[in-house]
Amino acid sequence: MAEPQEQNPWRLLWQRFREDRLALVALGFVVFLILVAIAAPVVVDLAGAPGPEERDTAALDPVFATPTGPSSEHWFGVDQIGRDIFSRVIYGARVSLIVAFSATLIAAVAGVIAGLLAGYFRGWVDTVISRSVDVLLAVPYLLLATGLAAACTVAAAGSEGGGCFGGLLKPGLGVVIFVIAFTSWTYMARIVRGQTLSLREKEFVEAARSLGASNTRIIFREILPNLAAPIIVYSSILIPQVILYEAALSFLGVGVTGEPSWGQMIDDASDNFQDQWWYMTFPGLALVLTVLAFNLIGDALQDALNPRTRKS
Amino acid sequence: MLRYIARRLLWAVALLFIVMAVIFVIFNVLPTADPAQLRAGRGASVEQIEAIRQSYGLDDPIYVRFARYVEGVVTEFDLGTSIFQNNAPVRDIIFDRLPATLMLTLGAVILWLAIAIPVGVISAIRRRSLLDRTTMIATLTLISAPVFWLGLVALYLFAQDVGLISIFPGIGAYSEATTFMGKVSAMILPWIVLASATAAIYARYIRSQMIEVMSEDYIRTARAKGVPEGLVVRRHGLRSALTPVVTLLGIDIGVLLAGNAILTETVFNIPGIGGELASAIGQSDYELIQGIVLFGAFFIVILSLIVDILYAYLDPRVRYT
Amino acid sequence: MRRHPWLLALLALAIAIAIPACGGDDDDEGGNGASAAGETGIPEEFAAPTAPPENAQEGGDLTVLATDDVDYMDPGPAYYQFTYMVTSAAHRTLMGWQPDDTTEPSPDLAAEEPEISEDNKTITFTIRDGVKFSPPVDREVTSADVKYAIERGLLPGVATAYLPSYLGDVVGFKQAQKQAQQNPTGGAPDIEGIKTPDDKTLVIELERPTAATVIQALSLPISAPVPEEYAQEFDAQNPSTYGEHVVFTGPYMVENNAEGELVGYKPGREIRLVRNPNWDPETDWRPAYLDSITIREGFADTASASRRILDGSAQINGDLTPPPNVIQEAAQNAEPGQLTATPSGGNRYIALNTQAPPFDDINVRKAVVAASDRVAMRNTRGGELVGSVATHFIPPNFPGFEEAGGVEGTGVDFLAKPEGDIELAKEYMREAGYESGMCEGDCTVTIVGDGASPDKETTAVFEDALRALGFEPQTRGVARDIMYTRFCGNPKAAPNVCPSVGWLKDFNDPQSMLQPTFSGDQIQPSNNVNWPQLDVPEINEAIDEATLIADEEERAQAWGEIDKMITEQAAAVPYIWDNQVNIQSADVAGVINLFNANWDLSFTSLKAE
Repeated sequence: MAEPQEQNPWRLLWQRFREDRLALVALGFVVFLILVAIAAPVVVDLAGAPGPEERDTAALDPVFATPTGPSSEHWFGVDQIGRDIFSRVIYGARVSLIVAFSATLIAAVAGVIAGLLAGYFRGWVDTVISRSVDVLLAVPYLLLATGLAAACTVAAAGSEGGGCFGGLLKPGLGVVIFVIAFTSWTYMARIVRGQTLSLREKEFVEAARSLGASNTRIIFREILPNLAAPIIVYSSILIPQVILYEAALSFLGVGVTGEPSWGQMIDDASDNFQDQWWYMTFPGLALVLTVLAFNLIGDALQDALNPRTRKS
Repeated sequence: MLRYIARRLLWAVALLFIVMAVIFVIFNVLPTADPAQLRAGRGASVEQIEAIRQSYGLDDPIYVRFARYVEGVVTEFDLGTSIFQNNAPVRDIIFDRLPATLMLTLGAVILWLAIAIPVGVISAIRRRSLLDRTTMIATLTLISAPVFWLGLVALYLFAQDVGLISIFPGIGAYSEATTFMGKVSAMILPWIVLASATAAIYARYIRSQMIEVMSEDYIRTARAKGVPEGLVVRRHGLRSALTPVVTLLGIDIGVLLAGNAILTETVFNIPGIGGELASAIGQSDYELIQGIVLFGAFFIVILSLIVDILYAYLDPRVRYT
Repeated sequence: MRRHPWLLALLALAIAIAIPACGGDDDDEGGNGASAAGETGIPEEFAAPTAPPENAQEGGDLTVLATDDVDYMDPGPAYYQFTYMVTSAAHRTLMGWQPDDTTEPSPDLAAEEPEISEDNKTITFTIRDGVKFSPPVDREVTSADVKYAIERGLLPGVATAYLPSYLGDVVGFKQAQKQAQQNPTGGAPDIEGIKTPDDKTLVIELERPTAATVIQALSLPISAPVPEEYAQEFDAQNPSTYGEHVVFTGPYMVENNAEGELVGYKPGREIRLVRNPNWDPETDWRPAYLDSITIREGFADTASASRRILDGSAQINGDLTPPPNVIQEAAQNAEPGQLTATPSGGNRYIALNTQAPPFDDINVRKAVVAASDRVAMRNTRGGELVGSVATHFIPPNFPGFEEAGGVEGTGVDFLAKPEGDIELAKEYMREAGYESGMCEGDCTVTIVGDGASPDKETTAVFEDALRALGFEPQTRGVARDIMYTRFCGNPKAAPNVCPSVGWLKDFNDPQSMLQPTFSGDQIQPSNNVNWPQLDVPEINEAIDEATLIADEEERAQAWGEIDKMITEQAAAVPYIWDNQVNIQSADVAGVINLFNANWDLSFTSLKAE
């Protein structure tokens, strides 16, 4: 089969993306962040900071045991029990990125499958899928997610087991990723469905069909490759939302536990933010910068895909 | 038109029913916790737990329980009772908390439109200018900040009791205010925080709408005819750019009522539905969580129904698609 | 001074749930202030005021800030410390607690000290004249109202948690209990042993000689009178709806309408107390200075709520405790008297599940206790002022405390270093068979604790001890209620560690501290409070014997020894003997009720301008 388009769409996308200098900086930041997250122990060590779980009791007030702010020993200060906030922020990048990428991936895959099926087969398949999307959109997502996460975590630990689906879904990272993916796939499904609806009427699809290609073949060989660019772009838009989403769940106390995460740190900090400004500030800044970088990339990718609304 | 409305209404009812079923399943099938034991709470013996199981019919098959639930909701809007609040009816709790949430949301909507429309329009007209670029980056930063963090930062900077610059009432001021004006001033900071993220999204949306509209042929025609630029923007550009915003607004108010409002209410300790939900989650008060989620869904469905009908009225083509 | 040492075990979930009922001790006179500071860590400047000023002012409205609601407005099932703050101002119980007395309750609804028969099996109360119910009931209280109040406590729709443990010895109690369970909506069952020969006389007959205990128990809200003719329609429902229609006998009442509905009670938001028009000050020892009290609830942010109190925009704390940084601010900047600390007579500890691996091995337990940094755990609650680092379980100023070793501790090596002793811990690990001194193999340790501050921080500190010995902690933070009902109080679902537990005495007797919490005979299938599930035959026997000792000194000695035996088992990491921190604004002349370790609303007044 001949390529339906004259120019490699990826190259075109990259060329247009490259023009946005701010987006390039953002991309650099994200790559840097990923490296930092992977090499967190090394980074913390190089900075001479204690590990994320190490308590430095000398950094607490001798009488009232309240924490102290930034110093040469603890760049970002310490938390209620004397743990170094700098190293916790560094380690916190791990949770944010793991949740961001895996929840986005699951949501994207689910959304693409649903969208493809609905758009390609139309009829009752489309009705069922589109109506399910309608139902999910009608349920306030944050309410649903917090409720779901709470329902899944409350019965946790102990010898009776816990979680959801009779213990299949264990509380913690898994629940958070599941909950976020479960309430985020609808967006992708809608876009893919629309695109598929128009693609299936295109000549090259008609041609393949007249040559006797099976539905599976048409979907995977003809339609899906043409959807790759929009899928990537809309996934990149989803990522920052997922990061904020995870932070919100952590803030509401139904997020990841057991390892430092930015949202959870802000939640902890909210009890005493008036006196310990450093505790809410640094995880918050890390969160804003990360989300901003992903937003800039997503924006630039979107502009590159739809040159009509480009900024420059 | 009537047929469209009838069809749309029917779907809204069906949608509500399905939503109800989904929510019911989530809170009655998924949790591994024993609802009778949760309900029995502190100091309950095995016999008491059994008695509760029987009197609430928790042993009945799920569809019987669902039918009972639907019947309660439909006939008297009975959303169950809250275990942790002396078995107070969930409906009453929600209606009790509703005014604070409504006030928070409506104020925020007005504020964000008041910010988003001028910013979006000016950025669109002064496209690629320094002003445009700065506002676009500023708005993107606001979108990137979690609303609960913005709330904390705002309190740290501006709250009367603890802020660096003591201007606005801080945490818990809403509960303490006894007059309406007191409540309004207590809401200023929450309004700003809640509106800022959404205002940024709207400003960007309005900007791109404006850019698109302003490049349409009829605008060019109007300009060619010598209509002053200000008039072109106001009369032609703004009107068509803002029509889709109405739809977006309908959806967002619903989502906001039940989404970001939770976080804002939690941070500022406003006794609204969101704050109630946050504490219900802490206590695993399933019936209350379920009632609030369902109530939020009602709101979204009804708002989108209103918006759709309005839209069909404004734009006749919609009815036939 | 007479004491009532025979206390039956209180099964009650008391502190189990929200650090509720009771607390305090009896050395408030300042006589041995120095030693009190030594044991409880409270400097004189933060000692609790237990008497109103001489020129206390009448009138005014007091604003109380609280995080949560009362557990029940109905005095029948009420059992939280915070609820007692309300019930003690709005109800008159047979016996009551004067602010400065924690050892002996004073006659309140009772006209005088009750008469106790020679054999300690019959108690006779005389009801005070002139005590009337608030509107709409408006009539004088009779002995039948107290009888009904107690009996309705057995209804499943009221379910007074502590009733079986304290009044189980009353003749006919068990039969009445059965009857109520068989017919939950058929009205309160008759308890044969509670007799009302006339309107003013109440006779309680017991099967065993436990009169002293019963009299103490009748200072709890269960003995607040309830008019049957008015309440029976509410009690015919399960759960009872009397909580929405309560009538009162104390100086204050929750604002209600002509039908008796409590319009002044908005669950979770506000309780409005106003003067009870039917209360006659001539009949009472409460001064009741204030005109009204507004309790505002839902202040989840304890730091900002505490600041509001300190800066005068509200006046006293209800159930909320100021967080460490606010305590620090108040200690440094507030006016004298604004910050107070009161020994609550309670302890907190990390319970290790002795029935499941790895903590079924006493050496592993000793290792974990040795590795724990108990100073850091205590510090999560705010440093020295909030309590001293515990070395055993009976709290200071308590019979048996000195006998168990006092502040120094019982002498066990694994509790010798409050900051933790990792070398010793590894030694014990080796004794348990771990050659390297670290856990090997399956080292997962499940933990379910309170997910809110400061308990979540305490848990985080404890996790360090586990990690230092090679264990892998898996922690879940949940709401306190859930932690107890679903996990820690349910032996079948109990995790390896319950880090957020503790016990508050109901009375000044060590039996109430140790028996429910460490006797193997007390392990329950649900609502268990022996959280470590400690079941050691010698300890169980020693407890059985000690319950029957009547002599004060012998008794203290015996319970001190039991405390030593329990400590030796390393079933829990004791880390604090609690002080309750209370705060007031500068314009309030607050009075603390030592029994409840909280403000006493009917003694507190506003300062003159």
